[in-house]
Amino acid sequence: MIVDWLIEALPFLMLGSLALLLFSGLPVAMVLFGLGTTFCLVGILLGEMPVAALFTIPAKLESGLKGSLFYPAVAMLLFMGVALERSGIAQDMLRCLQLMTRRIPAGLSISVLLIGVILAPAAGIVGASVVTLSLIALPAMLRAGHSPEIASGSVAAAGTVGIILPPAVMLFFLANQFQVPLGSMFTATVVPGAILLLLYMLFFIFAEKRRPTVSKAKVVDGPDNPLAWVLLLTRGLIAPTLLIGVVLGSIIAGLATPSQSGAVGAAGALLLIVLNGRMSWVLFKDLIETTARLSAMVFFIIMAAAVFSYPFRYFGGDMAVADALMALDMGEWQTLLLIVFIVFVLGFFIDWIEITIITLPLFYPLLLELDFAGHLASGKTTMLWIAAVMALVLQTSFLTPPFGFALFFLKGSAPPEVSLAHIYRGIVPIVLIQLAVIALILFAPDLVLWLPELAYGAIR
Amino acid sequence: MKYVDLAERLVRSIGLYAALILLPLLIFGRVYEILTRALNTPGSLFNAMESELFLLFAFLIVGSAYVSNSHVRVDILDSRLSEKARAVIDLLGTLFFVLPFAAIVIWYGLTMVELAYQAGERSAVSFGAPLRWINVSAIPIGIGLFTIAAICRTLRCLNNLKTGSPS
Repeated sequence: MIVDWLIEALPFLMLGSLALLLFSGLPVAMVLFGLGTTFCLVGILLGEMPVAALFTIPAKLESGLKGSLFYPAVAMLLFMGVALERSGIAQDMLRCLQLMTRRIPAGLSISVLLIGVILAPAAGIVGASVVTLSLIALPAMLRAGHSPEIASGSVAAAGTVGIILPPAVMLFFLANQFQVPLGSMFTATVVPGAILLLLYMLFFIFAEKRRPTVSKAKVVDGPDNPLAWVLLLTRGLIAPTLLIGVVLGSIIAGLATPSQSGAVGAAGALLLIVLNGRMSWVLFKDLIETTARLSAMVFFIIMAAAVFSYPFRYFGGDMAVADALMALDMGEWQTLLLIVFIVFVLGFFIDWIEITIITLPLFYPLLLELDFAGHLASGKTTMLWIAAVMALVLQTSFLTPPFGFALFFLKGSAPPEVSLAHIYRGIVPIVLIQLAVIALILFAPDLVLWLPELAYGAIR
Repeated sequence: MKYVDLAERLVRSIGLYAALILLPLLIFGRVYEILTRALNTPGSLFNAMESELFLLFAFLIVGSAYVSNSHVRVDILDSRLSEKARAVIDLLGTLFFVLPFAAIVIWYGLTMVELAYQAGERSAVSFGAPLRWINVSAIPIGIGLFTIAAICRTLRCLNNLKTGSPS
């Protein structure tokens, strides 16, 4: 009796102990694989799992890592990010944007957002984009006199907004799961993404007005002769933008796989360093070592999450969720909001890859049943709307304290003077903006549907 | 502590040299593949090797990243704890999370290696060489290196506590 009850409760015990132990200060990956292993052993003791199930643990480490063809691309794009940052190219890029936006208040935050829009869809993986941006922009923002809160808020916003803008890889998965055409999916998030960016910018301008940064004048200092200007623009903006354009363009046009584009990006960044005359063995070794450190950080969490989700799914953790929902028998709005909330919470622990592949199919039949006839046309249109909402919800989830994935990655790559508390405080306004925009597109589906309908006539 | 230093240095240099070899291979292998394909010569061996090289890379660097304390932690409560409390948490983490996990991964991981070796298993892709056992052995080796790093860190914590020197 007790044992039956305990078995039923195992998935919830797993989530509960995860929430508690994350705060122990042990590495996140260690908590994930530790709980995964512990609950496998508990399952064996309770007679729920065979001992042979332990054989699956090393296999899960491997399959977690091979779960996506994009992962090697992540390592290479990380290398590109590190190379652009360590060699000073990204600083040049930031300086150019900064010079161009110097008349605008909060120009630096806006520059960071722009770099985020340019860089992030290329990576498409939250961890990678946040790490890259935090390496490129955080030290510069702190030097420019921004508070660690504003600096980390800018980087977290810039690093995650890219995953909802085309051609982010997450949109491929969402389109696939919700059975909507990729073109419609790509165009559906453009307007909400633009609203988000606009609100971020307004917030940073407001924050700047309220508490102006101190050393602004010293940082923004352009060269005085035209030739130096052209040189700086070429080195700092045109060359790297071309490089990133090639990486991005080859993916959009379907010319290259993410891994090919990543390799071209990495090799191109090395070429830029050579052309800039900054290449040395010491720098090269540093680039490799830093990339390895960051890759280990990202991929160990991915591996460990696979170990955690193995007993979680074995005990029916994901099914328990869907069953509980079915049993509630609520109206369409309540069901949708509840599912949105569940995806939001899952986004704390699980990467979007696992969520879109494993969790969303569980909800899909339930979502298809929902009838929003009074709100918008049913069928594909409803699915496209829900898919766009999910994209924003996942992005928000990665940003939300205390668990948001993006925040850990940000902390991992931030200078030591930026504490997790700074990051948490800096992210609150960003999360509020996110929630407002989600509420807005829930209320006004036309914001999502307008552009796809304009582009394709009707949602096919 | 001399052995701890030595062990940490070993774990760290294995990670560094693995990355120095594997990362350029990953990048330039792909670039080479693109160039040769553009020149219309067959050469997609790399497609087959990429995921295997990446697997080696990812497992061999996990330990060295732990030595340099790069793995992400939620440190909001941690920073308010005394050094003794932190050392105890570290010890408990190593004892109850790392060691059982490592024992399972190394034991069953070696079984995987043995099976792959005996079966002459090829990787899933068409060009795969019957050398998958080398790749699979990255799993127990990588986690083994991580475990050494974790034990070293715990010993260092306990030693600091005993001698009263700051970490």
